Amino acid sequence: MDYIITVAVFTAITTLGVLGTFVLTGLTGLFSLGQAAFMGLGSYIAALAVVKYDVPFPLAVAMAVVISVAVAYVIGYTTLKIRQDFFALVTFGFGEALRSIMDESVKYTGGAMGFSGVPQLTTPWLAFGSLAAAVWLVRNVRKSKFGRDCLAIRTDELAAQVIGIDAFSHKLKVFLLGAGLSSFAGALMAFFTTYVEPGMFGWIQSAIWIIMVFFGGRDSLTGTIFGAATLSALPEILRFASQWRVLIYCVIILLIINFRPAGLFGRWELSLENLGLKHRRVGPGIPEGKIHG
Amino acid sequence: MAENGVLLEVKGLSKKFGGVVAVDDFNARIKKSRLIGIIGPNGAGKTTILNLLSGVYESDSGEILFNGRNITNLQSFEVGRLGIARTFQNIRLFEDMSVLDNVRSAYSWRAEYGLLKAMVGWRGVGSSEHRVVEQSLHWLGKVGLSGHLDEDAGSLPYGLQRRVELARALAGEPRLLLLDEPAAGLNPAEVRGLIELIRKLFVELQLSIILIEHRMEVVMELCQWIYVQNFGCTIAQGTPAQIQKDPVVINAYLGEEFECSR
Amino acid sequence: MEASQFLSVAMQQIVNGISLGAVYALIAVGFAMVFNVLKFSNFSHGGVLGTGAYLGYLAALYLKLPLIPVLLIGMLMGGLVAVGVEFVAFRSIRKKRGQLVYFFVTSVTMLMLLEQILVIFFGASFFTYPTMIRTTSFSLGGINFTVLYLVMMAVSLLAFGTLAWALKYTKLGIAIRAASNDLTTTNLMGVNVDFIVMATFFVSGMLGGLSGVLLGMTYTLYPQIGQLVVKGFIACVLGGLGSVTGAAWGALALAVVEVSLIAIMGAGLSPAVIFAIMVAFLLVRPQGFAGVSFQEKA
Repeated sequence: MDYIITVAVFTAITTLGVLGTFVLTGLTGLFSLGQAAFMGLGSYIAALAVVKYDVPFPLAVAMAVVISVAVAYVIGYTTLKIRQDFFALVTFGFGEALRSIMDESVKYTGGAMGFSGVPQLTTPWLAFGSLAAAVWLVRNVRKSKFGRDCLAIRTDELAAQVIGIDAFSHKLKVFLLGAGLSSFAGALMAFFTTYVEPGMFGWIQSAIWIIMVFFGGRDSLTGTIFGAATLSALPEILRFASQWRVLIYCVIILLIINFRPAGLFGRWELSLENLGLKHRRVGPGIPEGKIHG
Repeated sequence: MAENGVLLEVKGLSKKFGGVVAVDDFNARIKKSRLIGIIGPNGAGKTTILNLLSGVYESDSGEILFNGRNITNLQSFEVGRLGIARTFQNIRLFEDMSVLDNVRSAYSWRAEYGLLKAMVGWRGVGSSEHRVVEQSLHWLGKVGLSGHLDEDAGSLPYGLQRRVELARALAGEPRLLLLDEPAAGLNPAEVRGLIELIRKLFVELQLSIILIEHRMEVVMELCQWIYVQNFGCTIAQGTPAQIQKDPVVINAYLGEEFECSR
Repeated sequence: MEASQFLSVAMQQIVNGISLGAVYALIAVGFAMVFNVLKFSNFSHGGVLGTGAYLGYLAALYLKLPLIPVLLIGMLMGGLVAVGVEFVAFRSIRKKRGQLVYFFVTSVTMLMLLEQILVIFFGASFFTYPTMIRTTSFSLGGINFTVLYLVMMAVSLLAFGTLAWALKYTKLGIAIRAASNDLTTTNLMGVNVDFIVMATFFVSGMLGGLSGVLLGMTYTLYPQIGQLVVKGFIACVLGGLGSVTGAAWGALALAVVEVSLIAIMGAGLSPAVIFAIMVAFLLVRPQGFAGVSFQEKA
């Protein structure tokens, strides 16, 4: 029972982190290999604050998120104007740069061996509650004009600009939101696993998160949650050796892209209407069930 | 504020791509509520002019004044917000979004809430969206599209897609509407419908419209003034009657060489 | 440090940098070729690099082949793997005119997949190529010339020369250049685009495999060696995405900077510094040395 709860909490926190990728790469189409790095940043800052500076846990988490978002602002502001290819490269570089900085700052953090001895302060309630709150938040964002603009920019940025959408400003906000979500998850994660290790946050992890989103369906929040939950939990339960796990992820996403690019859930969302429990309203009103309400 | 009701003033607008001159010293003064046409053989630089006016391209030189305000080299979203809307030669709809959502997107920048309020599910989001839906329906009605609201824009037949794009442009409540080959790909009956629609919109909304077209019946019937472009230069301008008789224009379409006067 | 000492150290770094730059240039050019034709950044090139490196190693170790056959095997295998990758990962997206992000996802996936396959087959530890060349180094004018470095440089230059010649004078080369310019028009002119794309990947893969063998031979062989493709990408960015010669120069610049950085501050923080330099460069001159800019057509 204990083991199941551990897996569940780990899955929940990971899913929270993946929500950042959902918003950035799924909804807005910005390919970033640095989302997991934000989780790492959140972990490190929060852990450092509590263990070395005796900062109270809630404050440490808040600090982790605020600082990560600030870092995201700097990176985003300077790099979101450039081509998508460059953005991918820069986010890759960010992850590696962060890793090298963490490795080098042995004096503070324990370096490449990681940083252990973090108290376990993340309770299952905190984890599940946070995930629920984050899902609620992302769902609200998505149903609003903000979510529509993400899709507009993803589909045709030039057309979106012409109708008055400031694509750069919007992408920056999305980037900040994603960083906030992933860094928050990172803070929770550090106080759950009780250690922080630079290798957990590299570009491969970011790529795996993207795979989870596309597996479930980049247009479906439900799908993404399903994808993240299944792909994080299953290997834990089935005890796969880690190199096979990555291989299987790769094969899965290749199958999805070749045969069902919309992902498992396509655009289907879990909602009262889609379950047949409530009537759809069409016309002046906001129809549920369709992507942007 | 603009003098004498001049809505758009273009001075010396030029654009080169590598070694090719796409637009060479384009000049125009367009008053309010005028229907202007731009015609010319393929590759004459007509779409480039529209791209320059809407801020999609940066000009190499020249000035664009809209309502007296210098909008040269503003970004396209700024130009859109100032009241210039456009459609595209190859329709650029958001294919995976519903028809309604396509039109609604034009209201995004004017919404009464931002990211923070959206995140927490602020009550006002619902009513704001409600208002936006009503206004979008109004525009869809104006172009004759009251059904198909929930369908993916990309799944509609070509002619209807053009109308959705038009509704989206109108939803910007522009003072100047730029139409890039709106009749392309339409059959004769649809072209007729288009002419009537543009005429109706022009009269009802008192817009200014600049229209690029190859279908001569559209241009000759609707436009009050026509610019004829070839190789980036304006080789002639005038009323439809004048243009039809202009030997220079006729030559251009038949392929004879023309030296730009610069 | 005395002036003459400093000078010789500097010269040494420059020589090392140039040799490394030659290989980075190989990676970059292979990368740039696919970019030019398909207009996206092919991260899987790293997987091809790694596979070439390991297969070359096998040829050297078990088949006991000398240098040139090993290089050729690396090239051939690289080409084949690249073609396989194109078929499995990119073809269906290209056919369906999918969005850019799908290309990114599959190319990164293939990079990971190939890397993981190498880990599974060979384990995570380092390997060393058997000695392929008897003289390891010699001194000239106070500077140490490592023979392997010189080999890297010579082979790379030879590969470039051949590629440049082929692109200019062979039918296939011209077709690839046409496709780089405008894939749709090339299709409309009756050229078999599928074949051209496959050929482009094959050539790109040959370059990748070759660079893999050279890198594996000169440094060490490890499964993550494919991640050096990032150097190629950075080189292309510095040179200007879309310019093949720019990519080569960018590679040289990158290698010299990198070697100097490591000499000055050690290998630890160099990813961070390179990241900072890259961001700064992108802010100041995103079109690269060659000044390539892309204007989307409306």
